[in-house]
Amino acid sequence: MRTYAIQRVLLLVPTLLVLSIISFSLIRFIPGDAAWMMVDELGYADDIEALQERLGLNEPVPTQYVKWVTGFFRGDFGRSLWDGSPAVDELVRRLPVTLELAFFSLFLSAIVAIPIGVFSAVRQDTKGDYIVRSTVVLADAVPHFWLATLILVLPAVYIGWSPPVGWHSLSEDPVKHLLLLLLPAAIISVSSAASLVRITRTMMLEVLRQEYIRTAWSKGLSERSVMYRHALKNALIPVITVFGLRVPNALNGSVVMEAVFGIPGLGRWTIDAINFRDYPQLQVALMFTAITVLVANLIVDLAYGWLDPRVRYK
Amino acid sequence: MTEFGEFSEHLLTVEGLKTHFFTPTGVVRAVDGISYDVREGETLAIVGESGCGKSVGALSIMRLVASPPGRIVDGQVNFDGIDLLAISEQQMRTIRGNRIAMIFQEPMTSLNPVLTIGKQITESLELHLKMEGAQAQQRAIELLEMVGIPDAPSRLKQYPHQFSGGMRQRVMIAMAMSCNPRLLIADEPTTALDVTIQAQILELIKDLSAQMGTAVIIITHNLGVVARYADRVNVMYAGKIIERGTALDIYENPQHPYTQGLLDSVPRLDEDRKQRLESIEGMPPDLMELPSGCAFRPRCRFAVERCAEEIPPLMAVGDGHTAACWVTVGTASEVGA
Repeated sequence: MRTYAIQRVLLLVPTLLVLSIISFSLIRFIPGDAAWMMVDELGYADDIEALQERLGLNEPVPTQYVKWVTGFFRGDFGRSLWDGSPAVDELVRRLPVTLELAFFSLFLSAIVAIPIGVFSAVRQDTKGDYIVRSTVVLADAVPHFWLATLILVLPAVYIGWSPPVGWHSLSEDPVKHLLLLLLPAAIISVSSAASLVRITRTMMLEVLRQEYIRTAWSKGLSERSVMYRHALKNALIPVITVFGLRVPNALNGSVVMEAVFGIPGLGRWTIDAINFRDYPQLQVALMFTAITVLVANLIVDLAYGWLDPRVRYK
Repeated sequence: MTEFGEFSEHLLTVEGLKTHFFTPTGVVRAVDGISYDVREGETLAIVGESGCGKSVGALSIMRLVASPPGRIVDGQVNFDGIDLLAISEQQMRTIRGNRIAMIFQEPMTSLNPVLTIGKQITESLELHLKMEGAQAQQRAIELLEMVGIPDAPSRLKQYPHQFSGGMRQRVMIAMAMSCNPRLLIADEPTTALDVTIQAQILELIKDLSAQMGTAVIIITHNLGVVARYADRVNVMYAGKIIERGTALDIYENPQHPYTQGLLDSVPRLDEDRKQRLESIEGMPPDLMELPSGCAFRPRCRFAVERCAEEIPPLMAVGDGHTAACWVTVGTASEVGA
């Protein structure tokens, strides 16, 4: 198990390298840089070349890349091209907000979806199961931005009230903080919950056919013990995989919900970085979002060991 | 045999049990009217080919037939004065694993891969005997030692994949015997094991049941097992019991052509080695479309006209020995349902 964990961590290195190349080069494919914008569109200065030199944009792209990557090892993540502040300062303020929203939504989807999935499997082909299955298809198909707009706009139109929108920091007012997060998190969780219900149901049905479940029944255990102690732990192994796959989705959803609900996370900031060609700012945002996904997947892989002793003892 | 007859002697009485499976293509009559009894402390073997209904019959006693598609459509199962088919599911749970325990065929897949052996054993103790913590642990260690697993305290913390097939079956036996059951149902307990391990496991079941006075129903297709371990034998074919008697009756004086065929297909040490082993021609019948009359008729070398017209009931051959065949048992007095 320890070698397995070390292997998994070492594998992060090449992945991160490829990621850095992608996040570095992608934005440079968009025509026009920050200097051009400042001069041509906003008239902040007259001489593009002088400005490019000041911002370090005149150097060959590979040189810029090497500078940026080596900066990483010194803890220098680059400065915003527009206000000159270290890009990481703002990131440190915003990333936790996005992470909180994303993981809150994942948490919500898991606590709702797993019991529903179990229920649907145990009551296979009953009315309850059919309701769950059709709701899941619907939930999977609804885009979250549409759902969010609907939830905000419909009550406003018909009853003159709309759900509260905005942001309170956790330290300021924890209750209000969570209440304001609840709705956007719930909206993001809908599609993740749908896939989790589906995989939980399928895996439970698979596990319930196994002989050790018959053994559990033959011991006189209650349905509850058989389902949750004997079946669910086996069924959860693949469910965890799907959970891991939903992490990027939850981060995506957070970015959109931040825009809709006025939450000061990475979302708006990342979009601004693209619009204003603020290369260092975007690179930092992309790298750290990617690292989050990688770490989440690493945790998922290690969770197999916790759930499945056959992995643990390899 | 009536409901009250020989009450104290019979631990389990099965009367006219029918378990059918309702599938989209038709009704499978897996168990089609079987009656038998098990006495306190005895070992009863139920013998037959795969798919003859012997496992389903045993699962029906425990009310563990998957439903749907399976359903017990008729019959009575009386265990120690309790009508098992009439009590609530909750009452049934206090009997399962406690007073009637079961061992299954596949020790590889019958234990839960993600729970420790200790957890799987103590679970029954906590549920039925209300033991807790250290007491249950201590009892689990004793049980593992009793079934011959060395180094029990550390084995308790291990998972099924760390045990060999034979060891897993020992764990299954420890689990089954944990609450001193009155009846142990062993469904082909050795089929999946090496021959050398098979004998050890059977000896273990025999010794433990003798020690604890547990009655055993052993389901098998291995007639060698029957000869050595069973007091009485039921031979099943196509969902019915077609012959029953003591192990000696069945061996020395088999009456049903099917039983004779089964015995002829087993190699025997006391016979001339040059003699060819016989096999039974044909295939077991489709349980959805049984032939008319005797289900064995299409494969039977003695079949006469009457076999196609009437289903033969169990008829007395001797004291406690009955067989369902028009030809070999003839028109002797009829017993049973």
